[in-house]
Amino acid sequence: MSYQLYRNTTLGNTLQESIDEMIQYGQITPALGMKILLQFDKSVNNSLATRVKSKITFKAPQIITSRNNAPISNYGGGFRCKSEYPWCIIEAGKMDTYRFCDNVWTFMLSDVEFKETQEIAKVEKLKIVACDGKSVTDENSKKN
Amino acid sequence: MSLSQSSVMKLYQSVIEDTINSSREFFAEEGIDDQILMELRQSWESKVMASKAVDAPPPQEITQLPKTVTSTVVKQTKSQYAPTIVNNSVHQLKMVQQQKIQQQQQQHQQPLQPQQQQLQQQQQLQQQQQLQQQQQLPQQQQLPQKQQQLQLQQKQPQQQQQQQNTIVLPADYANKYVPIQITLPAQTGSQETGSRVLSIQVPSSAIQGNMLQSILSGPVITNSMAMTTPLATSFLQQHVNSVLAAQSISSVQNVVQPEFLSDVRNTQQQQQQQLQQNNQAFISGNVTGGVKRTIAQIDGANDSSTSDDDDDDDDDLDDDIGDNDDDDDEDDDKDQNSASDAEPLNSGDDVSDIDNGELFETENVIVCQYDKITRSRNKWKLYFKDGIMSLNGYDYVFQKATGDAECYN
Repeated sequence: MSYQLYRNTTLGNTLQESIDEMIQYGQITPALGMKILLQFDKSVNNSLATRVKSKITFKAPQIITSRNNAPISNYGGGFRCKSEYPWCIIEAGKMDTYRFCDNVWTFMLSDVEFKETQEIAKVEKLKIVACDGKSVTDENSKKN
Repeated sequence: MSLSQSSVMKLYQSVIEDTINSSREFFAEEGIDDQILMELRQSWESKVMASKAVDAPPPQEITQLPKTVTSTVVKQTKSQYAPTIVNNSVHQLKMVQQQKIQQQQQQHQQPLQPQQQQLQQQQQLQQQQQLQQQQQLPQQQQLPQKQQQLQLQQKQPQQQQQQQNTIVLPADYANKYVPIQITLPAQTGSQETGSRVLSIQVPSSAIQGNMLQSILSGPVITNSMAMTTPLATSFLQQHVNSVLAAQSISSVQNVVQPEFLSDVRNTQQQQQQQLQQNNQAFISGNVTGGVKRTIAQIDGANDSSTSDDDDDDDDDLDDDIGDNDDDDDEDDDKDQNSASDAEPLNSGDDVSDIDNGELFETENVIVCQYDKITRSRNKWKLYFKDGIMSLNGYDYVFQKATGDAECYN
């Protein structure tokens, strides 16, 4: 069981593009494409939990909006993803592993400054989509 | 380089590795050759590299150097940051990547001249699938044209047979006008059932830049569908002319750069998808008298949902003949339903949702999980973990992120 929200990242979007192309050209079936994508969900959740060590802080002088909603799915955290492919959506509805996220926080912040040891980035507008981290933590801690 | 940035490539590589390796058994189960899996991997990796999201962002204080890598895709949104300093290690990675790609390309087609090959590499990558279907690609010049042809065909899946011929363009074709064919369904409301093929003249630079996708979409096509063929032709011609005239200077400059071609690819795909949906909506609209035109279909190509409707209608008719009283009741019900459809209870909510959606339009996104979110008066503390960030076009990852924010609403 892994969150699907990481599909809406560079890595997830490019994978979906590649899978979609291969489905379009009949090289793989939509069902297989869905399996690969679900495997991606597992891999990215695990890798993030185990391989990434960086810690950052950020400051935002103003929250433009904040929402804590129980969205339809954890996929995209209530936002329409950039790439919603038909094979992905249809199949997702059928899969047992499709799971709901109890709470998704979404924030829209302005003039955000990011720091690690020194400043790494500054953006005028930032959207944050965050699923509840507790349920997945348990799972990962078992594995570790 | 900061850890959050340098970790990105490592994380991505490990995810790619893990996803591909773990998917091997799925391929075996379906009896699909491992080679296909390797193609998926190469396609995926090259797209990640092409996104430039894994490149090192330009340091702010150091004098900027000229960009050394020309064959990679520059995101449109990043053009404001160019010229980019290319980190050496990233550059080398990229070269390795390109060599792999070149090898792969050569499996699929005749060898091309090296310097041209490099320029067109990204395009070819994305056309790789097309290339496999059409193994023979006699001349490079045909590539952009071919791509466009394919897209036009995809817009009109039923009409594929009519547009197979590729026009071989002269060397200075960027400024020449070439005819393109547009296939429309039969005129709305007319008795004819066959589709209509219109031909309009556009500068080939527009084809190369794939601007036609955006120009010839949406209400323009919808409107032209209701016109007679000659009227629609001149209407579309005028529309294209006026839009291109407005863009001409900037677009001609842009199309010379191969990056631009690849840049617009994502939006193209979306537009393409949209066009397909529109097309399907048109078709169902014709069948059912235009009622369903506004419903976009997202569940796949050419699924004939309209046939279900027809069946239902027939059933109703049968019922009507059998029992007139029920018929009246049904009509009343239908009227009420349609009235409530037009003004649903929560229509106010829908509007605010749309507004929020627009407000949330930004390239800078963090997807992550939250550990804790606290608020005291107007001060918020945000504790996130396991995040992937895309900031100013560059990707970062973090294990933990702590944020302070204030809210004055």
